[in-house]
Amino acid sequence: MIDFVQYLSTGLMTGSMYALLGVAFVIIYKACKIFNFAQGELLLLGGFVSWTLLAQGYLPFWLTVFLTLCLAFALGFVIEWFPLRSMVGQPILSIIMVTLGLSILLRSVFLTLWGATLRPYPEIFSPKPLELGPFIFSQQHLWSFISCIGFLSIFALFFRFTSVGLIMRAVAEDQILAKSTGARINRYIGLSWAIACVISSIAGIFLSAINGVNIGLAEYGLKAVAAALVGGLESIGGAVCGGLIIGLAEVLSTAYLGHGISEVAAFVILVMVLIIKPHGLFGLSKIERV
Amino acid sequence: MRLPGGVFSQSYFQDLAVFRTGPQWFCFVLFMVCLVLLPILFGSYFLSIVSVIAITIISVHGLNLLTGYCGQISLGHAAFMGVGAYISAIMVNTYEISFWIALPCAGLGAAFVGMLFGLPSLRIKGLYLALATLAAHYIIMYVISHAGDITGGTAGMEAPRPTFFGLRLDSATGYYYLLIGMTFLMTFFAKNMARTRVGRNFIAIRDNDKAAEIMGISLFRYKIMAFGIGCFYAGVAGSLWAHYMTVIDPDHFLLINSIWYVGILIVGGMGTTVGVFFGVIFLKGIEVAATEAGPMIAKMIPAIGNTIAASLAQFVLALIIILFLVYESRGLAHRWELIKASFRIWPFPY
Repeated sequence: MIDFVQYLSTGLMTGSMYALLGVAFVIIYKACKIFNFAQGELLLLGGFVSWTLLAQGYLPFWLTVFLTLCLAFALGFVIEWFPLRSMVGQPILSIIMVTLGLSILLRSVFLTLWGATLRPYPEIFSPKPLELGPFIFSQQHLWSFISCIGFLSIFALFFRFTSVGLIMRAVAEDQILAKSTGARINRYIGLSWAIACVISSIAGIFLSAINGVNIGLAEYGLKAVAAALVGGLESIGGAVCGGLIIGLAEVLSTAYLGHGISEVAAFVILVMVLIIKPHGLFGLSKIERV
Repeated sequence: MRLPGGVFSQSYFQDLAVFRTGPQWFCFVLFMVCLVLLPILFGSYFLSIVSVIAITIISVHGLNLLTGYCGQISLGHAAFMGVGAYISAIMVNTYEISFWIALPCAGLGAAFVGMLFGLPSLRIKGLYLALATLAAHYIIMYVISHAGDITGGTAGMEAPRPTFFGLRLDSATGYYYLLIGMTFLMTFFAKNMARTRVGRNFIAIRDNDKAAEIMGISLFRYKIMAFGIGCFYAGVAGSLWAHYMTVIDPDHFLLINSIWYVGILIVGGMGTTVGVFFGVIFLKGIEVAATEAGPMIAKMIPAIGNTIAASLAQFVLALIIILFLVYESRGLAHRWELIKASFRIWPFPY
């Protein structure tokens, strides 16, 4: 029983990363109906840039995070401007291929600049595990879980209570109506990309603080797409749930079915959900007319 | 197909023909003669490039039937190729069955696996189907690399070169002729498949699946058939790849290969047979050029280091695919039609 609770908590903490990435995916999808397969590379950006600033620039952690997120914010606007602005409304295959192409492009740039070796991240959180009664938590996981919830609530409040957040929700709801009220659509879609980039970079910083930074971290991006789909593409809450489900599935399958299976656990769950409930657990099923 | 002035169809048989005019036949025969003479004229490096191009063409023909004609997005094509490659290698290596039986078996096995993973296509499409095939890719490659007793796991597996009526195809030249023959055969079937009832039904499903079903086309049957045929091509290409490389391991069939296959289709032009040739030759040419240029750039600018050599080809290919999607989403085949049209109507603008 203690083991199970332990696995459960580890699963939720792993899942919180997928939840963050899934939310980034859903924000972009809702704003402009583009599926961002380059999520994993935006995550790498956070990891690599913050690693460089920390390990080679010797900057304090808070300044590193701030600078990395500023860069991610700018990059979001850039990739919205090219190539994705012209892809709105194109066939689905084109959209998928543009973001897949973008992901390979970014990955080759990272490979050129930082190489393929695993780079250990400077210690930010104490590696000493935290003991609460019979349970043991790794401090790194715990802190990233808490910050994850913190960031998610900040973004939720941002969308709920600020006027910019309100306009962004309006753009996601109905672009033509939003346009007729005078909102500059492109600017807000760009802002959605920027916010999604920032969220991915946050996840990237935490993941590389836990695992060290390496080009292989991009795998998380595809699993996050799976998380967003499991939750249903339309809802941010669904993406959080999907992320947690996938995180739990990975940890529990490793614990009870053996090592190595966690690589495919996310995709097995995805296929099962797609067969049973094609529009995800919280998605809206669209009625199509000819 | 627009015909040059003065060429008319006087019988149904003429109307059906792929090659209509003398110059077309001349070009075709010249092309085939060039291919046959290639090993005599060029070195082994060039021959190896053409061999890989031939295998890729076979594989992309399958993807073209599945995605280009039937509109079912597949991001798992490399894995289906892997299924074919491993079936063929296991049959020839472990059970010592002749390559000529293993080759069609590899195609059929891959077709079966493809149809299995194509089953969800009945309920889902678009992004969801792309993700389902992506999941298929990961699941298939997981099974291959963890079934070490049968497939050799990550260490890989040997696949010896075949013999042909006692004639061993050990040399690169011998195997090259086999590849050319297979490519010709598979292209012939792909081109004609697209023009028959099956191909027209695929196009109807791609353009509007609901309307196609109302017209009496069984979506279930034809979508599954598209997956079957597409993956049959992938399986055959995989088998040829295995016996070309003589050693295969799971790293030959990565997700990035699947992405390149779809990229080839986009650059060449979806839903055209000639586009497959354009796409494969164009992108392979660029890749070879980038691989040659990489070490030179690394030598000129040592600050970037050797990593540029590894990533330059990927960078250039990804950039080309993005540029094609933004500026010419109908691909090189469409450009080719425009060039031909401008020659045909010259000197008038229309």
